Amino acid sequence: MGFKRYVLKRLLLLFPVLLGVSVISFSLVHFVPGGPVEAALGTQGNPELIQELRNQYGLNRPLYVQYFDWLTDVLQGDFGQSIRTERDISVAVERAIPPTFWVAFSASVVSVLIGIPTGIISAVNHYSARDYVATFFAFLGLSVPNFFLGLALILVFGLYIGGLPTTGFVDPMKHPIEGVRHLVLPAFTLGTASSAVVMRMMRSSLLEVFSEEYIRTAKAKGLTRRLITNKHAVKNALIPTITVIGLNFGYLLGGVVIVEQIFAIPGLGRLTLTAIFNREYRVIQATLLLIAFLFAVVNLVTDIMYAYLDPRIKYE
Amino acid sequence: MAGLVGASGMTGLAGCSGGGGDTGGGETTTESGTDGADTATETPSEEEMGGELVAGTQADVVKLDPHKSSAYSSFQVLDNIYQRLTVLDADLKPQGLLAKDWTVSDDGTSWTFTLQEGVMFHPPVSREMTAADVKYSIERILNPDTGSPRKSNFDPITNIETNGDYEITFEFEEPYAPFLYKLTTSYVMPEGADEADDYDVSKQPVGTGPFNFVEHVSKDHTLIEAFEDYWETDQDGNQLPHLDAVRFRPIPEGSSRVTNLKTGELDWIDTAPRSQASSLENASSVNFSNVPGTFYDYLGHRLDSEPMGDQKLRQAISWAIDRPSIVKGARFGYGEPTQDPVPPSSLWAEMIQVDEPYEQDKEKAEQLLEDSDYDGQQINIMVGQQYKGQVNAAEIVQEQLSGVGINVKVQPTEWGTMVSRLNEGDFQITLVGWIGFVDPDDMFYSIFHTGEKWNQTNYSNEEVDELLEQGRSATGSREERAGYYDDAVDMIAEEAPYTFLNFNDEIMAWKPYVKGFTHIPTGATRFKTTYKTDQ
Repeated sequence: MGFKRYVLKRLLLLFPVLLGVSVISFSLVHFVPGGPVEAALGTQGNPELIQELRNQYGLNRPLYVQYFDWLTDVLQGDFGQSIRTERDISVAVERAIPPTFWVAFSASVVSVLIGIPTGIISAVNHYSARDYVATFFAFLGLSVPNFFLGLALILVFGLYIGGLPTTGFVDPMKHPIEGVRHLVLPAFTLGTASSAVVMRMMRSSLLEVFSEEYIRTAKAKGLTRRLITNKHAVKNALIPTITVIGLNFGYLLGGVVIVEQIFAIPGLGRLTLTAIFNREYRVIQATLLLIAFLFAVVNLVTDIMYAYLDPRIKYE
Repeated sequence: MAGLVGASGMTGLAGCSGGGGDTGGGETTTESGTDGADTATETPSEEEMGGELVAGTQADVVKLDPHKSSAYSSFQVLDNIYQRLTVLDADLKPQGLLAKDWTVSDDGTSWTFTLQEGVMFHPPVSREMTAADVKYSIERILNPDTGSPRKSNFDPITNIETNGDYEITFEFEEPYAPFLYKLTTSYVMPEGADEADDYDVSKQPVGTGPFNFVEHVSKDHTLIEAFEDYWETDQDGNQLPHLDAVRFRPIPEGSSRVTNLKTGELDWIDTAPRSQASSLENASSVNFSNVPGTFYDYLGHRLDSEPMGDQKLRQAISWAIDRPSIVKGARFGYGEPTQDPVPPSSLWAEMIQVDEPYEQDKEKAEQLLEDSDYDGQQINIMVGQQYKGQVNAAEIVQEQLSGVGINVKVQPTEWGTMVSRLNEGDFQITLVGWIGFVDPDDMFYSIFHTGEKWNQTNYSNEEVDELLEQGRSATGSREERAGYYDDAVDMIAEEAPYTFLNFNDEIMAWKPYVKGFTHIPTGATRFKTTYKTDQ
């Protein structure tokens, strides 16, 4: 079974990739001036106290010793404790995953729900007024910065219209209605830009498919335009679009930082950002590894989706 | 206690501060340990008591151990759970809290405190607080293994003696004038807290405050609820606190906090962005509060760097700057120019003043520049890049200095990197701030005394050193003590290791139905006497 072997190979390849990511991120964060103790104490730090705490946390040892120490712990499933908050990193990361996943996922849904239909409409009616309007909004969506759209939505839905919560996160698995209500604004804020990307991709790949010979054949058979589009063209045009949606999802996972800040969502982005500001080496390592891992998995899933959409694609 | 403010925004306490910020950014790493003796002027009627207050804060709680914490955001919560012997009032003067009364021996080396009686600890400890708990707490701060950033506050103590359950004596080798101020960081926890097996003091704070801890969900909320056996009542004899619970929600984005306050999702917010302050001030749905804070911005000149060792150049810079335009341009008018590190709201402000204040005088600046050795080389101003207000201030400074022929370049620097460079003295000029200094010893000693820990400009003057030492060990009246600093501040102004710029306002806002909250210059967040009227 070529397919199973392919997936297995891809999964095994994850290890060297993650190892590489960990080495690079470890060196990068250590090359940045400052350290977790200095950051935690701020200017409260006097040299004695700093040295005392650095020794306590083993930060004065050679870098490679610290790295292997960290690696040994991680291979045993122990991500360590945050110096700043004295809480378990694995717990912090575990708690931060659902908010980020749900925001990225719902933003993907938004981008698909907006991007695919408008892409199709645009392609079917290309160079018409509808196409121009759709393209215009796609560019608008791409160009409006996240933070601006987020704040605008908070103003409109929080202050003027009301009815939607503008901060925080509620797990949709536990409280479906409240959860979804909390996700609406972040999902639109984040999803708009990617819906523009999806729409552009859908439009151009559908236009490409329309110029294929089998579409001409279908037309010659006398099939309706609607049938040709829905049954023959869209599925084929989806292949490159799926790639974009998949890549976008990976990007959304890593790119929710701003949205998490604005909507006060306790996710991975905020965790990573705070960790970087405070030089929390182990927290940074843990979140970067996780994001790299998720990104790799999303790419793999995207590749597997091809097989469903186009059985001719072979995996070796 | 104080610190550089680098972190976002206000911060009530002490720390080197880049703050001012409307920008998100890391959670603050400023020092803390002050709050206000609150005086509630109104009392709620029966039906107004109770309910939950939702407070939007700029940053999440960092540590729940008050002896180890240094973040303002931690103390916003912890100040409602833990209490100390003294607290600061609106004039930044220490008042007794857990200490009912105190006496100082004639030679100034022994302080005896009488404690409040009937003060109960929260569950699961649920017993009365005694002098032994106070002793335990101070010793815990002093223990190097604790790693407390406030250890140096109590280092001069040579002996702690309890006398019965309600009396405690601290002894010193030499008189220690700022002790009452330092005791504002003396958070009292139950004796044996570190060894307790029914609670973990790093995860579950157990204090004597009006609220006890319920839960902390990282980056989402912290919930505290009214402590039934709290020891204080209001002046009508009603049990404090009035609220049933307070929910702190960290919302890093300033404009997001403001909008959520307007919509009513939040009842109270800290650190409203200065850029939005005027719109808040005019909004009828919000009560806006600004008080002169303890957070000031300054230009620090590294004295052993080229060309900042040149005193005439530093003086020229001090004369070339128009402070009111910085307050207006960088702080949206919410602040006031200053010549010294004494907060305008402090009772020391009138007694410690520079005799010859710097005001913009371009001719004087140009003359000094001509007499100096400055050859027009470029000088970098290091400023925390995420602190927009300070970056703007640096840009205004750049323009004003170029007007007299001083060539400076603004160098926005990531905060963590900047703190390291400040501590190492790797800069020419820096624009940054201090926050949280309330006693003159705090304001001067660590910053201007030779070789001290926060003396980042490497300033050294024997006469100033001597005056600051005298100020620290003064046993006489407040006026006598102020006299030493009043002399020192003139020498410091003349030699200009710092060019003082301005104090920043402390900005908070709440819904009109929130009553009984006292906003004091340290930004202390205490909800003991707060209540909500009918919305």
